[in-house]
Amino acid sequence: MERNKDMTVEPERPGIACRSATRIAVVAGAFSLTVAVLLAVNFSKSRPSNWAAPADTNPLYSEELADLKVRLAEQPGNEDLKEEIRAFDLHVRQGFFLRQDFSRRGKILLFAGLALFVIALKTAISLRPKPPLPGDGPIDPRVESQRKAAARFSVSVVGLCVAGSALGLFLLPRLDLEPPDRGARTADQPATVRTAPPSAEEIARNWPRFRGPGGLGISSFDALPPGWDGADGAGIRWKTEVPLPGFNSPIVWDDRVFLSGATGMEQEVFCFHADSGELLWRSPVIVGAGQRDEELEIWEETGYAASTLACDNSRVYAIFATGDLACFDFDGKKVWDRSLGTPNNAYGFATSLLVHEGNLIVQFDQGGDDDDESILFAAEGATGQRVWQRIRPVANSWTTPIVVKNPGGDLLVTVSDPLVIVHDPATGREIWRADLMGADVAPSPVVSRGLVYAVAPNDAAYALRLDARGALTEEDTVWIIDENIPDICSPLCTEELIFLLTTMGTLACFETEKGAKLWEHDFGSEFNASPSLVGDRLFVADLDGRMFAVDAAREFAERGSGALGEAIFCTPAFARGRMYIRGEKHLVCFGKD
Amino acid sequence: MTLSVCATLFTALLALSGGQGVDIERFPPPDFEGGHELPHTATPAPRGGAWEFVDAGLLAVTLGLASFFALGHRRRGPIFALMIFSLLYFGFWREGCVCPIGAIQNVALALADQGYAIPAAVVIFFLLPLVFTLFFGRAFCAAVCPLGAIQDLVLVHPVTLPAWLQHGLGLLAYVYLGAAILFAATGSAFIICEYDPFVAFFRFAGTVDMVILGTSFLVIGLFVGRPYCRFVCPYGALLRLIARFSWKSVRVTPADCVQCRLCEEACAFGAIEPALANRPPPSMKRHKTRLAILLVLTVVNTGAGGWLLASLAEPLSRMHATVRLGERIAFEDAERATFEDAERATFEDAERATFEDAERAAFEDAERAAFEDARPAVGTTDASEAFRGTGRPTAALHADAAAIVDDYRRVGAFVGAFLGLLFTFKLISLTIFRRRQEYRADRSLCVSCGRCFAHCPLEQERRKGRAPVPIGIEG
Repeated sequence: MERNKDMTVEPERPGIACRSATRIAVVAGAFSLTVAVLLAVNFSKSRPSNWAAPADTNPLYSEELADLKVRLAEQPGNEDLKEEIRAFDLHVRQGFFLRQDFSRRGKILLFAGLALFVIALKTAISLRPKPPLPGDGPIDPRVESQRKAAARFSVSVVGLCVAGSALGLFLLPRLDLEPPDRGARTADQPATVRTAPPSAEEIARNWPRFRGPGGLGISSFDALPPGWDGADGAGIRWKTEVPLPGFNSPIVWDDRVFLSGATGMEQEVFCFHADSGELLWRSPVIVGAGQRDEELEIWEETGYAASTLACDNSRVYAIFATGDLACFDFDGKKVWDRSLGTPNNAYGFATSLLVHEGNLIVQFDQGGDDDDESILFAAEGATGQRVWQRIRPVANSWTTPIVVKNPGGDLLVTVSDPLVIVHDPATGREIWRADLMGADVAPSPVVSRGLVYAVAPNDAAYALRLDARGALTEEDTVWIIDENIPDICSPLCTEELIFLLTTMGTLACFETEKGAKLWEHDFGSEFNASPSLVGDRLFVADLDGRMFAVDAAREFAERGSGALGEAIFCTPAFARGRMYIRGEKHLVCFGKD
Repeated sequence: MTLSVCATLFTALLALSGGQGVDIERFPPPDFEGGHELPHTATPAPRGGAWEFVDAGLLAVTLGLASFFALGHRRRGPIFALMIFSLLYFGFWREGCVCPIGAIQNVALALADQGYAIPAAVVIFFLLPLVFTLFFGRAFCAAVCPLGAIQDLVLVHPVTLPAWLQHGLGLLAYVYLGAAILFAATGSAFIICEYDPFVAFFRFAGTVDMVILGTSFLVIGLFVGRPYCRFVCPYGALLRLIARFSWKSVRVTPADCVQCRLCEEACAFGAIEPALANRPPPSMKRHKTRLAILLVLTVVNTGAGGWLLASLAEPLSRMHATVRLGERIAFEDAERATFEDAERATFEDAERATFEDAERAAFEDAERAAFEDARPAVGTTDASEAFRGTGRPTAALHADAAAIVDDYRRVGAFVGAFLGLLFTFKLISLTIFRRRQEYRADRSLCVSCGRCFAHCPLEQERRKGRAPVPIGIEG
């Protein structure tokens, strides 16, 4: 900077105020420095002796105390040693809190000292007799040009340094995320078998999940065995005792019927021959048993095996109230198993599984809606490896999701407390959600003619457009029904009609167009099983073990009834012209050869 | 000066009183019957209800006042007083949170992750200073930012840095901004908050690293005006870019500049651009050639910067906890595989050669059992053990990590291109020759602190009412 060389100012002796401020600054600076040093010393003493220890290492840890405790373990009766430990422990604690107190007071003193130092220094400098000196006008453009050249050089150097540092990162080892390929299977497990997912026709012929193909409770055939009665054996093809209790419904694939059962001590998957009822195999699931300290207590009305199994053309999947998830091949050999951890579920876990395009989809709702404990995931059926997973902002629920064919791509519909959420089943990506549900949601969703029907127990049933987007509210519903609302049984829906069955035995029929009520009928008994549709007949089974057939029509007409002879909690399965009912103790098959 | 000293003293006393905001607990703490006192946490509780909008409103008011004091009133005193207020309120009372500087990260994350719901107040805190800067210059830096205020207070003997050093160091703030955006947008870290140098002072709590960092900046700040603001602050870097296009900005002199250069002496931040003598600059031909080359380099550097950071996605992604965990799990699995396969095979081969068949079997069984018991455990971390405890397959973790690396590649390409473009623009701006007839404040560097006003003899005349010239505000 070129200053006018002719402009000189006589040096002037600083005034007393300036000198005083300078002295104060010096004293305050020395004081602050002393406090800072003492604080540093104090801090070093409050650290563990090992400086490499993590910052959150227990500050009360003392090697001497640890040694004393080891000695006490060897001499448990040594009272002097106990007293010594107590005294030493007190000493360590006192020291820690003294250092903390010292640190707190020290920080205040240091802050005050530094503030005084800065104030005094600023005062001293401002009082120094140094008037500003005017310069000598504009500068030569050549000088400015030189300055800019230096600045360009400086900027270039910084740019090259930054780029060079970035290039230096290439020297770091590459990210290695690939685990070693060691077969991944243990010797006692069968090799991974990947088979093509079943066709739509195969699925339609069978009953591979809770409420059959699509989870809608609708059978693809309309021939129902005439004249049956479980109590006197009429029409019964076979009847086999189920070894362990459970409220899960039977599923059927070709000549195999699958069930699970569990108590607090054991949990198993069962396979019966569809023609003879013979128990082909039973396989235990013990994956998480060793991790639980005590037997899990579950509400009696839910039980340990409430979740219905799911299967495809080569594997069957089961989940239990313990959070144990397992996959078996059709010969009963375990393919894989996992423990998802015991779900935090008020009445016990009861959500059923489903398989879509070779992936097992698990809705594992638990805890409260803001606990981030609920998850939804898809796992590769052959290996159990998760394909995607989403954390769900929902509370525990007992519903089972469904996958719906849609022109824009398949949709996975889930219902829980408080959200109905629709996902892309291939990626888990959320498509839309609706904040409509209340607590204790158990009825599963159904779909028909582009509408999703979701039931908030004892409150309302909502019709929502399947092609919606974003976050929906009650204003976005097509219609709302607020009477005859079930709390356990899932609805059943045809193109024109929707049927709601309450636990207390009222079956009501509404139009799907506008939700207008057509009729209701009180059976006078209690129901837990969801209704099913075979042909044009609706089948409902009550807790007394009676099954009623009524017309799925705009007017009520009962067309017959039968009795199983034991309580029915589960929804029957219908496949190949037969009906499979799980009673309280038996699996019963009605139907033709 | 008296005002300055009193205000500093007042600040110190109020800060010592340990002012605390009216915090709202999201979840009420349990009511202990034994007289247990809950410890005060270092991180301030989030503002509840309308309070966050009270803060935003206060930010708007202080920004308005700062703009008025810098452009209309043209006096350092009110600016300084407002600065003290901001330091006390946004610094010590609100404990440095929420601040526009850190809000950069929230905004970056919200733009990159549709699942992240950014609070409205954070958006307001991010946008308001930018909008005010677009209209009135860097009013936020002048008197609203507590980080600037604390540095301004400790500045006792400003040293003028050479222009080349100032231009060079000034670029570091853009690098920091780029890194902050990259790590925030990928959900890896909020480094601006982690390395906030002064938050430990505002909260009277912090790690040793934070205290050392903050103290270093304050010690340097005794002699170098606002070192954090000028050379590090990522929000300052953004404001610098926007201030170039501001509608109004500080003008040193109220009338034609007399070129006394007193403003240059007054400015502690090297923000005064000199007037140039009416002579031709040297070698205009070379000058134009250089400019042409730089214009071509704009494309090259932008592409190179984007490629470079995108290529560094893998090493950079280690900033993300999931990627580190994935790598750790893969490492542990590989270690186990190596140990179990290679070492055991060597061991068994050697032992097999030593013994007869009959006794070998017994020996091997015994040794194998001992081997299993005594083999060194492959090191695990808390995170890897917790992950294995979930039963989640490693393939899913690796898929998550791979997705994060892809995010790094995408965001890195954008940030790298931005930095490449910016470096080249900086070189271009240092190449373009502009004639200046007066000493004036550089729009991007001037923090509107108001120190220069009183040094201008024309301003002194104006204040005495001797030269009734209109106050010039550059438009």
